Amino acid sequence: MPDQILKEVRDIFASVFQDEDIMISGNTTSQDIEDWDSLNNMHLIIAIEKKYNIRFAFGEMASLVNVGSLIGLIEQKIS
Amino acid sequence: MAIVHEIISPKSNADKAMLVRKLYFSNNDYVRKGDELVDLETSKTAIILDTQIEGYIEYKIGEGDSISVGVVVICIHDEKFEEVIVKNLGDISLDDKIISHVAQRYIKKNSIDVLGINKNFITLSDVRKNLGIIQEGETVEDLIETVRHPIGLAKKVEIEALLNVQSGSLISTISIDVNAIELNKNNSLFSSTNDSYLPIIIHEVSKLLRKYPALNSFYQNNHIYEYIDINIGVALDIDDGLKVYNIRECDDKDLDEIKDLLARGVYSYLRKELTIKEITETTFTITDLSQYGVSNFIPLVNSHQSAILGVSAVDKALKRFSLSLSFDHRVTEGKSVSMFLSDLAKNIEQCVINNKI
Repeated sequence: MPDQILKEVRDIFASVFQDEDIMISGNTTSQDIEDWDSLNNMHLIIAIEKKYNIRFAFGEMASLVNVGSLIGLIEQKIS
Repeated sequence: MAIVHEIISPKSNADKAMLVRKLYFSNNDYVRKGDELVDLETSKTAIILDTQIEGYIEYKIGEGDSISVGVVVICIHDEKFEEVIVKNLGDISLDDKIISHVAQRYIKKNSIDVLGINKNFITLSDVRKNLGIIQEGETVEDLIETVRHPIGLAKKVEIEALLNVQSGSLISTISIDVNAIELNKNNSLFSSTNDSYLPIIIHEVSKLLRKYPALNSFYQNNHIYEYIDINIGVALDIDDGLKVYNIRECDDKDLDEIKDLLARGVYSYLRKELTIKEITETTFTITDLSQYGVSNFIPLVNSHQSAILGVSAVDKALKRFSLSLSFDHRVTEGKSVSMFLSDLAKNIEQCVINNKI
């Protein structure tokens, strides 16, 4: 399941950052992607919410440290 | 055949008119209870009208029309009704009428009956007036072919708000450069303000407005009205039109609170969930175009305000960014504004340094 979510989240990253070849892993952080600014940040959140029909609370978002923790949170919300 | 139900454009708190965005059916289609019939747009929100009565629909409006509140927009008939007979241009006797090229195209495209227009030379304005799309006195470009896009009500409100100040006042703009000291980034994946000076700017502006209250004021009828509260409006224009998100009583908030509120505002904007309360009653506006790489610009002062601050992009070579303050000369003057900007630049730099420690 996490691998499937990682693949789907990668597709969302590719769309938001307009980079079809973008590579992400569980360890990826906002420091690893040059265009990851505050606006793309919000676009990512909204796109992920739409994809999985979930909503993040602000406290939840603040606690995420990398893509791995994001995927963990998505998994928790859709299960 | 009878009209069994009439649907009226609803009253709006904010507007006297609304825009027709989308019709979901065609005339004489059969509609059932609960069917959504039309999308209307006010300056603040979208409204979908549905029907509680079944029958055959007759629209009294067209997509793109600007309509008043409280008028009949849809009739529901108990059986199919006879539509007004329309004639194609080919059916019209043009013996005694000259129709402009643009009007001809419009008539053909929309199958409009122009026999009722009692003029020998028919322009596009005449056709549109005859249809009630535009009012007497309004004109449209008849000589050059154009594509007409209706302006949304939100844009109309924006134009009115900006015109109120710009057309009747003495607006001036002063800029200052701020040293772009590198920001202290945190480890949160979704820290929305990692890369932006905006929260710090909002924080420092709100504190400084207590010292420069003229910039938190507005001019009206030979009086200057000074706001008690400091409500900083942050202009957001991403993919849902320009909205000014209000951080209320901003001077009472610390930097972390402002970061959090700003992120929530952008989040709500993108979700199209900003409430009326969140986009009204601002007393000072900040508009940040730094994401678009601009080096300097002149922002326009909003209605019932005396100043607006524009934030430009960081010049990476020179390690600085520009702040531009447009202000109403009836309320304050260049010397005070220069002092405000000088204080602001120093305070921003100091705040960045303090937050790095």
